[in-house]
Amino acid sequence: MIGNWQWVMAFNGTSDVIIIGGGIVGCAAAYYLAKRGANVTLLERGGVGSGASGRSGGGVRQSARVSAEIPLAAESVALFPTLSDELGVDIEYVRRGNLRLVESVDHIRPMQVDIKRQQALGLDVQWLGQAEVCEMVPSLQRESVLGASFCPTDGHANPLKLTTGFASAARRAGAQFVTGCEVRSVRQADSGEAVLETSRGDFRAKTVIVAAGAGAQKLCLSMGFDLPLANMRYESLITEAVPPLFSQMFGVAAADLFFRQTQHGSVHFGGGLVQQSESEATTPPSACENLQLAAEHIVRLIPQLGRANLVRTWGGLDPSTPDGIPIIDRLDENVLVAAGFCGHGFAIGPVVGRRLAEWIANGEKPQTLAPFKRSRFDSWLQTKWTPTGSFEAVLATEATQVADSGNGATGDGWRVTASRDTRHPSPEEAAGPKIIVVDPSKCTGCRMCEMACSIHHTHTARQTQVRIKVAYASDDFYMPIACIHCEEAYCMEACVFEALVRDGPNAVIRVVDENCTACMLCVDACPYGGITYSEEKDAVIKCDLCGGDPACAAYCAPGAIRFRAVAEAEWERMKANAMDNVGKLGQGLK
Amino acid sequence: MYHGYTGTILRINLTDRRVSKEPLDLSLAEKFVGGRGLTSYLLYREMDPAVDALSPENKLMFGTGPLTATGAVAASRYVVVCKAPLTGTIACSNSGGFFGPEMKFAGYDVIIFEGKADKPVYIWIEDDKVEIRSAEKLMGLTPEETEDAVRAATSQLAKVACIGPAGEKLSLLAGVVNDRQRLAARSGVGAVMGSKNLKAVAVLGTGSICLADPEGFWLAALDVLKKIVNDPVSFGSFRAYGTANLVNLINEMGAYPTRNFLEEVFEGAPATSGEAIAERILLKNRACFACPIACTRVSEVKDGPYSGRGEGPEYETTWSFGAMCGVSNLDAVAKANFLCRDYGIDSMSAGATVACAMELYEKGYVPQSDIGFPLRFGDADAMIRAGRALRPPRMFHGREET
Repeated sequence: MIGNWQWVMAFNGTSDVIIIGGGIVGCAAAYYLAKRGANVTLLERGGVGSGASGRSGGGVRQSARVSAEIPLAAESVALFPTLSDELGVDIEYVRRGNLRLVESVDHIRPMQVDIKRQQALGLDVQWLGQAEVCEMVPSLQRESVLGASFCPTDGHANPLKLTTGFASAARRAGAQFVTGCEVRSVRQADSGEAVLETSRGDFRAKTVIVAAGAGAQKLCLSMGFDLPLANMRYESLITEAVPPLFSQMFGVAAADLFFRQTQHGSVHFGGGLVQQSESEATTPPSACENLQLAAEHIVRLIPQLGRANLVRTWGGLDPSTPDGIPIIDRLDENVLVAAGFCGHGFAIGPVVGRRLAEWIANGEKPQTLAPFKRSRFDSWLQTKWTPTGSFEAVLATEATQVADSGNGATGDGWRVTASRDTRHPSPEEAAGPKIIVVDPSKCTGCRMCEMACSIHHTHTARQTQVRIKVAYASDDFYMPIACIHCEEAYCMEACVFEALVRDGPNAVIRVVDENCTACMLCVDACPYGGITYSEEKDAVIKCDLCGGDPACAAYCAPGAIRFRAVAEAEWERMKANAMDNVGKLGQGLK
Repeated sequence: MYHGYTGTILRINLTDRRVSKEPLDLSLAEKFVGGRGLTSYLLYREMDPAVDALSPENKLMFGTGPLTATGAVAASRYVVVCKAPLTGTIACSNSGGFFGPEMKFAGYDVIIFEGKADKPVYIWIEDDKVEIRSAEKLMGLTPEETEDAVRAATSQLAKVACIGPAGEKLSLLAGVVNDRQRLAARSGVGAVMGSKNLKAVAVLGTGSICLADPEGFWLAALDVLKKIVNDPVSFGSFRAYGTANLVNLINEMGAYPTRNFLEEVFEGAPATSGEAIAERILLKNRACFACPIACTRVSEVKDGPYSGRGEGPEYETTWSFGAMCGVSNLDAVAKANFLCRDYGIDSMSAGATVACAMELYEKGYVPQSDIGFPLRFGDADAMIRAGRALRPPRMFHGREET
């Protein structure tokens, strides 16, 4: 625990950068930023290295990584040998290679193929047969191993020493660390800087780095950013010190097991196994079954360990992303995030920290971080929209989630303004009449809206006699056209038979069938193509908002059609856009 | 009362220009579900399997299923069934877009083409009305030009299925092209259409498809929609990266056929993957009828020797012209795709053909003198030149080459 004076200082001023999370990424970023002369504060809810970093397996490997991570890992492997000297702490770095063991004939071929992939990326990795592996590591049980991939430049280090080493060095370089400080929310002040509300008062900063591991998702959600992170649980076990058995880092091809022998002689092993919810404590109890499995597994591979005593076990949470690589990106002007390392972030942590510092200093995203952009999940996250079976329920759900404007807003996608958990529209969204809002940039031209409209109104599927119609202007511009229920309605002015009336809370213009003589004056009067003639009814048909619950909006999965209230300014913009769109659509409107 | 089906089979005999309509036997439709089931059975029942695939005796069938055009989620496809000239067995090639639903709206579950027209023709179907019209002026046109011309002569709202110049010349790689750019590509079905002197079929439909329980059906549709929308693969990566999202995936599994199947990992996969398409050439997603996923890429290569614009490339094309030819230049792969579209040929077979030629050349079985230029794996220019060599003869008679 750090003395209170430090956070009081931070409280009184504005930091250049506040880092949330005292793990390997946060501490490394703090160090490299402080070294560049930035005024840095790091907030940590527990102690330095108390989350996933301190609980990590300690592997420093490039091999067996997803292609996108390999450049970062290679950079890290170049950096590790220098760290003990640079930080003034022995991080117990050993570079004796990483072996990924193959235990079944079914895995030999896939492993060899995977080696080829890694070689194509320039990695020094090769296939070793059973004899070669057992010659290299005599303590391995020959019958249990059929071969392995071997990357000689990989190795391992002590994760806790490295994390605390970065923290100490950062402090020496001027960074302030506030531990036992939980960040509850982050918001933007009018002055443009970020205000962090914490368990120890408010902090202010120009830039915030969220490197909060298992806590990152909740924190980002408080800022309105939903990241697709699911916390996974990883188990570690450690034996008493035993005589030297091996010096390499080990992994297993088809099971999640790692092991290494520390400088002290203990064998540290474990793996990632069970998904946990975010709400659970950062120090969850170990799952006995998993520990048992891991212990049995390692004894199959290294029989000598059967006689060693376990001295300690622990578990930790690390968030995973759907594609197994982290999200390292800018969320908005003030906030950068580095999270979702999927259980293999320790090795690349120092480099990610260094690159984040470089990014903040230069204002330009480093090229090696390019693959980790958040937007790769954009369309996936938009899909959190969940139809629940009835139009009302669908609308109630989506009203809380859609906050983008009517036209042209695609860029920042899924920013959520209201709480996701609320199933009811917030008061200002519910106010005023609702209309069908169309976003052409989201329309994919699938015409599901026509089908929904047709079945709702006629109980058959057809593409004529519909009240909403997708018009195609060109290869890349198409959108559904329906009546927008203008307040100054040319159609109503044109109708001399009182066949068009306006009523209901949404000020809907609807057709009174008995009065319609099918004179078509309204069809000609409408500049938007919102009214159609129906031969069957011998009357005009037009959108009636399905009585206040439009089917087309409920069935529009891409989100091009939404039914909601709009503010005055947006309404004006929409009308202008409507004319513009009609111009673009031209004869597609027919 | 037919539910889901329209209940009518349209039969067009091109030899004697006779058009007839037959009721669909519902008990048959129940036994052989869907466009593929029904048309395969009809072909089996009606045709001697020994006929020559390119003779008038072969029958060409367009089929739709009971879900097509009902608004059932993603039910947009139609099948082209006939005896295949490429494989000698039954062909079932299918394609999405809007042609299949239009057939149903016009009132037909299946359209059967028999015989052979004495001169090139196209067919104009507007609900009940069926006309056989001369297509002399359409010959040699690319599918896009054909569709534009046919629409201009019929209705701008018509949906068109046609063949490109390759189909006219009975190329075994030819497919049937609908909605300008989509191909029912496999097995050489375009050549069968060409052998019947049938250049195009235009359809406009205003009818309706009845549902037995519209409300129950729509709640079920909503349920399916929900499943699709909440699935990270279908609504996530297919939307973001199209079918080519598979490129990196399959490559990393070591199952990506490379350099004419000589290897299984392609070093150029990331550069030709769905991710690269999305980053470099994607303009917009487009959907087939009633499909929420919208995986179709509308893409454009803006400048350089491979400039062009259109749909795709899909996974199979990035595979056949990319990995199979060892070419990691995405622009060139896209160009090859556009060329195939203009010729009206299957880009899978075309790319694999070029890749095979590359292997034969590299191994010395085909001398350079036969090809006219070095045809090595990985040479994008050579791939495009070889691709152009698949161009049907006289296609560009008197015109600029694309």
